[in-house]
Amino acid sequence: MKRGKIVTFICVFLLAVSCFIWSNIVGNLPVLLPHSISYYKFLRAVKAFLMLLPAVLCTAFLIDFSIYFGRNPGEAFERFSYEMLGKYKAVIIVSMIYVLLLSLSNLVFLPNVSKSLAYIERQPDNFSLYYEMALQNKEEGKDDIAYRYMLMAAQLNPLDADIQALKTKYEIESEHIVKSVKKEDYSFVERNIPQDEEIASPSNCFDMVCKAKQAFAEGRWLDAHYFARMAIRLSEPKDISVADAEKISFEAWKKLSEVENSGDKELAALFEKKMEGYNAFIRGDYLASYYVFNELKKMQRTPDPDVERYFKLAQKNLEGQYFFNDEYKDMQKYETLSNLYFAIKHKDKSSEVYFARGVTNLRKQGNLVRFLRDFSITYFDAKGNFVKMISVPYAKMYSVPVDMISTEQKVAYRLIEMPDLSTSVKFIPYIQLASVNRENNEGIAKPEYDYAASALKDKGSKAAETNYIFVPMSFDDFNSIAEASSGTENMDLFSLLSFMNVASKYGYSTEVFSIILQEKLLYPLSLLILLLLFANMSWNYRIGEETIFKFKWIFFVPFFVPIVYLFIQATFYIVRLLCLVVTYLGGTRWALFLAVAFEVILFTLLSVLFLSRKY
Amino acid sequence: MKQILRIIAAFFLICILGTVCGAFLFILYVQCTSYVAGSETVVFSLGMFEAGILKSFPVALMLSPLFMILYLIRHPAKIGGAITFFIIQAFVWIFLFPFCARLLNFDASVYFAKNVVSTGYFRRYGNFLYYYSNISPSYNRSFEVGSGIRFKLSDLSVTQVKKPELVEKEALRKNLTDFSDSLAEELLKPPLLIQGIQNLLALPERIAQNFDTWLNYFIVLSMGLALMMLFFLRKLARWKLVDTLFVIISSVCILSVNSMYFNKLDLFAKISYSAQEILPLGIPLILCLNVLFILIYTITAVLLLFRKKGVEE
Repeated sequence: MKRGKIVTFICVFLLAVSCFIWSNIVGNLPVLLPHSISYYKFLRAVKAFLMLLPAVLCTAFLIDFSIYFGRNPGEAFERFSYEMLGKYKAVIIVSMIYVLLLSLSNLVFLPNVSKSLAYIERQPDNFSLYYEMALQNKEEGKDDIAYRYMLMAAQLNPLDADIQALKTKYEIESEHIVKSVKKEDYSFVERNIPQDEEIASPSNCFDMVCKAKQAFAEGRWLDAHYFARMAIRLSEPKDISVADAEKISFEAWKKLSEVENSGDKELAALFEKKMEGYNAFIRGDYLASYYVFNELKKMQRTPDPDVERYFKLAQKNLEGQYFFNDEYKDMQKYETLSNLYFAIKHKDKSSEVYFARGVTNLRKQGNLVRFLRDFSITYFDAKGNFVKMISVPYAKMYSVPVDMISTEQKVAYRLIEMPDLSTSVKFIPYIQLASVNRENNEGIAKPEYDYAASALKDKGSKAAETNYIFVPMSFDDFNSIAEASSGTENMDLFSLLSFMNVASKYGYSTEVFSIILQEKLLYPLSLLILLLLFANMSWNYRIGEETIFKFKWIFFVPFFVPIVYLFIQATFYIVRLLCLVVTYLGGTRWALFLAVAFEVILFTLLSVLFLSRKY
Repeated sequence: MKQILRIIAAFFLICILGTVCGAFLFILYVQCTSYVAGSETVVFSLGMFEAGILKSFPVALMLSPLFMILYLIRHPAKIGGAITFFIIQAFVWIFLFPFCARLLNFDASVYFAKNVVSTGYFRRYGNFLYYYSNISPSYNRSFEVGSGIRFKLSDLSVTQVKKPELVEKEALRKNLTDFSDSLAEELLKPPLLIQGIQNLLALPERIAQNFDTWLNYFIVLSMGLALMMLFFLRKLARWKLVDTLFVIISSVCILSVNSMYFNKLDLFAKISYSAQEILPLGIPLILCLNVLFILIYTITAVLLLFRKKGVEE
């Protein structure tokens, strides 16, 4: 068998060489960005190599065994001889090695290479889109956004001097200060859901009065007023401490007014500003309050505890409603998914269709935060008529624990209709739809609501517009869908298995996932059957014992490859058809079992056929 | 005598096995084309099996020379075996194949469900992703219309980036292939090479559709003869595996060329039209090609005979 190894090695080596030559010289390339061309050529060669590898290895197997059997026919004068049993063992051992190699190449390497290739092919599209967007925004005078798009375009195409020059030009014009990304504290990220104050502050009225008293004693008038106000809000009708709270509130306000009129102009101006922010905060206008305190924070030389405190409070409350638009500033470059879509079908047959053109994962937070580009939700009623559509250029999504969502919200977002909400589902996706600028008040980028003509008459619908939504599905399912959208064939086995059963719930075909899963699981067995068939052929058409191997026969080897390739393709196509039909017959649960049973029968038949060979 | 009987048995075995396997594949394929996401109906009937058998018997006949030669490579036959082979094949090509092809030609398209779409699934048609939320008959009830939403997936321009488009009572998008659901089509659409094989297997059907003239009868005869003549290639090399390679590749060549003619392929029609100028009047290119095949194999046979004599001397 030593010669066999050499023959196999030479075949594989020649294949590799010809793939690289093809990729570098002949192949016509798609439109690519200049810096990725050589890498693309390399990957393309690897892909061609992996795709042709089964055919080449099978050809080597066929020829190899044909010579081996010819030279060592043994004394197989009767059917089912020991001689053939020995040969059967050899065939199975070699086949197993081939199956292992080819399964690895087909199930692990090939999907990964395909993914990388697809990503590189998408780059020029993305590039021209960003470039166009940059120019368009520039024309509209939005220098800041134009710069951001140009930055993305420049990052995709680092070798183009013109683009880099434009980027620098836009950067200067937008006066954009490139800051290193601060390490932000995301520990609160999961708690960013808008909540009732009661939940946000677990303390009761009495605690608040105590805090207010303490703050009053220490001369922190603003805090004293804040806590007193909180105490009043938290109080119940019978609470005795309400009177106290009202008193402190009044006293603190009096003190605050005294400071304002103390005569120190600078201090008074600062105080006025502070009060403006504070008043906005009390009103619940966290956005205005945030910008006031942000400005104060930048102005002050020594840290003012009031400003720090209310800035943080305002920011925390703000992030319950909006996210900052600089968070997604260079996200598009890191987009891991494109065209993510799924539907949610309710029991009453109404449905919601979700679509995002691109998705970026923020890995820093353990994949918890995702940014969805060109995100839209479309609602259909029970009869399938259009109701409304929400669309937004960017949305921010993270998973939230189900326990933290109030009952009203569960009803409003139809979470209550999920059958497994109380049992298996722990986290669900929460999506923020509105974003604001971090530094200056440039207005809110709000989601756009479109209604069907019939829904417009209903005045309640307009009032129900929110800046956030809960998606009635488990977060794990969302992750599976995210993986499915990058190509069903590239999904790994576990996500295929977990997603298969819920696929039709989200507008995907269960059978399609079942077929792909079966095909992947059956691949080694199918290949083994194919190799056994080739072993039979090798015996039947083995070289004569005395025949001298002629050198010119070597040149016939390349002609075997296309025939074997065709044969393999046809076999796996039939396996695929078979997988769908067994899914029909047995449902997703029994399909794999049926398919395996069928292949095992085939394997046994071929084994018997091989063992029954005789000289 | 034993040898002759074995060859006859091999012929029948090839026909029976080929027909049964063909029927099995036919049923598999029909099942897959009638798949529609969301509806779980297994359509299986005895009629379908019957149709499969009637469809695949002529195919088995057409491929019988190839498989018989492969059998003869494995079990070399003497002059008696060779004569048996030629008698059987002559019978197949003069009577059985033309008769069966014409008799068994019928429209099997009743088994292929056409273009059924269910609501609540995402489907891709070209550049677009469709989601139908409602499917209803059109105003005159002659066809179905769908409402829902669609997303453009590629070739986006700036204005199209943001919003999806609503679809209101549009005619349903159609598939070009046999598959009724584009979800199945996307996954099960035969790759180009498989389509080639399908075309070869559909050759008897095509022949039956064009079986109106004596000329076509002669073309079929010449094709059969060419396939038979491959018999002489069976000992071309001393290594049986290489012989099988020759026989398989030559068969595929002959069948492909003829399938191009009977499929009325544009390219082939153009070539044969321009070839008319150099060919003698009235003889079509395909006949010449088949005769050419026959000549090549005959010459090979004669050369082999001389070589054998040379070795013996």
